Order: sequence, then C-alpha cells, then structure tokens
Amino acid sequence: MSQLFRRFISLPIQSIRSFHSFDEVTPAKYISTRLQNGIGSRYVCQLQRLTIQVCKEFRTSFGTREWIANELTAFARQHPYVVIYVQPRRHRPPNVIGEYLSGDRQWIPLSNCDRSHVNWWIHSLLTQQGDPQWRLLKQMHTDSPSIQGTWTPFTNKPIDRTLRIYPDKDLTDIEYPQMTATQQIKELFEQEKLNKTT
Amino acid sequence: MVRLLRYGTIFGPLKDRWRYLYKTDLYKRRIEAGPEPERFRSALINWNYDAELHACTHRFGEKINIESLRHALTDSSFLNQIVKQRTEAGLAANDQTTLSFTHNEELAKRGEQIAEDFLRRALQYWYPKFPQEGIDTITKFLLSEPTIADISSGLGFKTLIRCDVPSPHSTMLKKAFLAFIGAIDENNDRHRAELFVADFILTHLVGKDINEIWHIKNPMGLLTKVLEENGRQAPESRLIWATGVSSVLSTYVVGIYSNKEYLGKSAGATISIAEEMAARDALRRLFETDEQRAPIPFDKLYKKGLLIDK
Amino acid sequence: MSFNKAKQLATFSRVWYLFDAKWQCPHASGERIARILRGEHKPIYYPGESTGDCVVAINTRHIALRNDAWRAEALHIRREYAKTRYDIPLFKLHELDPTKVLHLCTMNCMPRDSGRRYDLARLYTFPDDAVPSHLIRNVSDQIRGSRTTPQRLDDLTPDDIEKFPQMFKWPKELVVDDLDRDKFVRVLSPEELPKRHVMLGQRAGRQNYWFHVPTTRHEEVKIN
Repeated sequence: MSQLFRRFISLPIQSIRSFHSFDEVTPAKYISTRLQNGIGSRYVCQLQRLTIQVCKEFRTSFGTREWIANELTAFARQHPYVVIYVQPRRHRPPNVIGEYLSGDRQWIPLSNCDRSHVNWWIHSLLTQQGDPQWRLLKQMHTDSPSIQGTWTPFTNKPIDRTLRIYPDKDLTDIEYPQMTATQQIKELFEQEKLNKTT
Repeated sequence: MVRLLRYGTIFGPLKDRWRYLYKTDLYKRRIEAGPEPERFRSALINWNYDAELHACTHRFGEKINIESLRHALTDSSFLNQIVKQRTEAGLAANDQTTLSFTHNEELAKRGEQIAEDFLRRALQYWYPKFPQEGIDTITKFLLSEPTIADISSGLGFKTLIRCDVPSPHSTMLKKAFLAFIGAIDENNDRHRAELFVADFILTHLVGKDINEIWHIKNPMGLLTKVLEENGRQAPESRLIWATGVSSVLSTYVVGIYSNKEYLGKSAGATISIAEEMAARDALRRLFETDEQRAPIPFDKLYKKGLLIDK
Repeated sequence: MSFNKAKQLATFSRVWYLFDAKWQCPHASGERIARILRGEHKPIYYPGESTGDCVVAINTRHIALRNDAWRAEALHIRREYAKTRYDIPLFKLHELDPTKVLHLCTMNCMPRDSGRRYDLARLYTFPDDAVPSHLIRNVSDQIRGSRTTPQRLDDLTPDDIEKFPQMFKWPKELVVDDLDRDKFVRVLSPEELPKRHVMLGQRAGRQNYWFHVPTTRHEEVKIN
C-alpha cells in the first residue's frame, strides 16, 4: 500500500550516499602524444578540419562574424594543413567544430563570444591532439625511468651474505661497538706494562 | 540540483497518460529501428575532397601533385564499385580508358619495397650485432597490417581513402599509406620517402623493446651457439641470490658466465625461469640491444652515418 | 616472462632476514626490526605501499632488558569495565610467552594505524634457536644487533681471571671466594618454601596484579 502511495505522491526516495567515483568513470592513461608525434623530423598538426557555423544576422554571432571577416584568410594561409568550412545558418547560435586525425570531434559553442574569444577557442582547438576527456595518471611519464638500472634489494648488498649459513655468529653483534670499561682497563694495563719495560 | 516537489503532485504513468504511452511507443520504435547505418564522411555537407587532399600534402610537408595523391588514395574496391555501377547502367565494363583513374596497388607495392629496404638498412646500421633473423622479424612487425593500419588511421587517412565502405578495412588503410610513400617517391626523391618512413613507421619502436618483439624460443641454445661462433667457452649459470625459497614470493637471481667472465644476470620466481631470463639478458648484452643502448636517432640517421643506398 | 616482469620481481622481492635476539635490548632491536618490516630501509619506500621484508627472530627468551625493567615495567591491560584493569610485570609475561616482549617492543615502534598488523605478521619469533627448517631456508641476510654479547664470569676460565689486571688489592678479611656458588646458595625443598601469601578482599595489597607473584625460590644462607 505504501509503495502505491509513494508512486502517486512525489516523495523521492533519497539515497543517503551516492557512490559516484570520478576515478572509475573517466578513462585514465599516461601522458603521451599520438604516434610519437614530433619525435621524428616533423610535427603533424592533429587538427584535420574546422567547421565554423555562423549566422549572418543574429547578435549572438557578432564575434564569430568579425573573426571570419578579419582573421580567417590569414589563419588559413598560416595553417594550410587545416581544412576550414564556413557554414552560414540562419538564426541559430554560432559553433565551431574541430575534427582530428585520430577521429575525435570537438564541439564548442561560440554564442556571444567576441573576436578575441573566438580566436582563443580556435587556437585552442588547433593546438590540441584530440579528445581531452582523459584523466592523466601522472603529469609526466617516461619509458626508461632509470639510467643506472633499477634498484633491487640485492644491489650494494655484500656478496658474502650468500655464502654464509644462518644464524651466523659474525653478524649477531653490533658492527662498530663502543669500547667497554673492561677493555679500557686492559688497554691501560698494557700501556703501563710497556712504560715499565721502557 | 534541488528539486522542489509539492506533496500531492501526481507523476508517472498516471499523470498525462497519453504522453506516457506516446513516449513509450517512440522508445520502442527507436529500439526496433536499430543503430544508425554508418555513413561516408563525404556524405556530409561540409566536405570538399580537393581541399582535403591539398591539406594532406601540406600536413606532411611533402610536395605532391594532387592528382597523384588522389591516385594513391583510391582503393581497388572503389574502382570495382564504379565498374559495377557502370555495367548496371549499361556502359562498357571493360573500357578502362574511359575511367580517368586507376587503383593504388602498384604504388603500394612500390612504397612497401622502399619501406622494407629502408627499415632493414636502418636497423642493421643501428644494431649491427643483432642477428639477421631478428631484424627480419622486426621489419615484418613494423610492416604488419595492424601496425601500419594504426599508423595510417592515426594520420587521418581514414576519411581520405576512396573505397566502397564508410570505415575502411585495415588492408585498405595499409595500402593507402604505403601508396602515399610510393607517391612521395614518384613526385620527390627516394630520400624524401625514406625520411617519411623513418618519421612515421620507425618511430613505432619508441617505448618498445626489440628483444621482446623477436621472441627467442631457446635462449640458452642460441647463447651457446653465439659463444661458439665467437670462439668462447660454453655458458655456465650460477645462483647468485636466493631468498624466500619456501615462500610463495620466492626470488632467485641467476648469473651467466663464460670462462669466469660475466655475461648477464636476471631474477625469476623459479630457478629455471631466472636462468632462461639470464640467458636472454646475456644475449641482449652480446647483441648490444640492452637498456644502456642509445635509442635510434630517428631524424638524424643519415647525419649519423647511414649510407645512402642508390 | 618479459624483461620488465623480471625487473619488477627483482625490485619488489621480499628479502628474509634473521635476527638473533640473544643479549639484545628488545627496545633497540624492535626499532631496527620495525624499520625492516615496514620497508623503510629501501629507497622504493612509500607509505601507502607494502614494501616490507620478512624477519625471523630467534633466541627471544634470552633478551636483556635495561636496568630494573623486568620487575618495574609491566604490560598494562585495561579492559573496558571498572576494576578490571591489571598489569602483568614483564618477567611474568616473559614466563608466560617468551616471544611476547620482543613482539610488543616491535609493535611499539610502528605507527598506530590499521596496517600495522599486516607488517607485524611478517615477523616470526622463536624463543630459542630452534627454527623450522622451511623458515630458516628462506633467510638470506641477517640483521645486526645493537649490543655486544657480554662475557659472563662463569664463561671465563680461572686462568683468564687470574690474568685480569688488578687495580688494587682487597684486604684479606674482605675477600671470600664468591665463584663457588654452592657455598652461598642452595635450592630449597618444597617443604621449606615459604607459604603462598593469600590475598583477601577485593583489592588486596592495593596492587593491580591479576595473579599472585610468587616469592623467590632461593634463600640466602649465612655462613658463620
């Protein structure tokens, strides 16, 4: 009965804790470039094509219009490896869509952005290498972490430890003991003996 | 988000019954319709193939004629499809002269020849003591279909290839990539094509151990053979360290010596594994491909002294 | 097995250490053992990771506590209800379990978190030098103690004693030959032992001992 009641009347069953973990949801990887970009003699820009959707009339795309009028040709000349498509669409907000060599696609709304903002977004697309939806495991990564070889418990361990039979008498006491009173007396005695003889 | 809901508000299937039924029906129909079919990238409105090809030449900094690039990116399946369409339309199927283009098979062969030659030469130059069999294996690995297809799709050939399926198969990707190398050779010189191979295929070895790409089945036997050829005594293995022998996490460190001369050592969970790994370690030390070896200078191979093969 | 796997195994392998606790101070040796159990002696140490080594400690019956600690120090057990707390002096604890003192001293040197017992599980203690063979086979290194083993007077030969330099001579009437123990000490028969002191009342003797501490079994014998 109570279940039925709950259906009709909006009493949401509240979960006390949400077990949402960012770490598990987002894929993680080490920082890397696609295909070791830049290790050879050349750098390949990962942005393949850029589609700018813009309206000629609405105020929302004023910055985008300005950018197209002033900077588009210079940008295209400077970056001939990016194919740029401009799509005029009537009465709709402006967008910029970047497609990358790896097949990823990024969509950025440019409503009410002025010229400098549009420029900033387009350059941000230009300098990325694709989908940024990654959680970096570390800020730095290397395949060869050690030049001198990785440490093991056996490095710098005296090799005679393999040949001994445990428990070993030589290894029980302290390595460099302090001189005891007995030893001091004995030494004094020896010295006195020497003094007497000389 | 805070939702303010008033007590006594009805929701669910009892509120707006018609809307509930309508949405359920829409959902069922969408499920029945199945996934959307794959489409060619060229089917979208923002597509200009000539511009794409032009950008492709600039992307790699190669001066290639657009026509020859178009030729290199045309797969045989695309040609077959065209011919089929023509026959269906009642045109002469065998009349190749009317078709203004051919497929990239021959260019791909040419490119593969260049790549194989160069890779073999470069590896032999940088790892002079590495045996021929190993170099063959690594070259084969680098020119294998999954490797080249991965490189090809990573360089954006996926959308540029002209073929009969929206997402090209790995054979098509491989052919197009190798044909691109062939096209560079055709338009520029061979040196330029080899540089391309060094930049995009040889760099696939970064972060990989070539000793693991070439898997030696009997390392101890090979080590004995190599030492015999060098006129040295047979290898002897000695246990250096052993700890936790009767526990689950036991570790043995085995070293390999030839005539009391240290060759290599390695750790292992059992003595036999440790011995095998020590033999591998000794082998890679003999071949000079161990961890201390400098990585291949991908962009300076010719400057460093690799001879140009005419 | 690949090279990386072998490297990983070598770096993270657990080394087995032996520790001979004979004549060693359990507090000082506990520090050393705790360090090794937690892996703090390794450069790869990181607080969250379990990088510790294993330790086999032998001869824990023969540890040497400082000053009067056997009598004066105690294990304070505090149960949750009123009037139920009690102390066990260390000499008694040592009789009950000869490995317990070293264990407690080692535990005392570890940070008080929940991971402590996992590290402590890697410590194997034995009261004497009899160790199961499957454990002693694992051992590949030994931890040095923090003390030298003292030489007792009854270990010395009479020659050594005579050779030992005398700083001055005692008057003859003060010298008794105290090396001959039987002259001064004799073991009492059970009939001669003093009767157990029976404690009465709830807090008899106002001491927190939960058991009766027996008096000494020896008695000084006067000579002349």
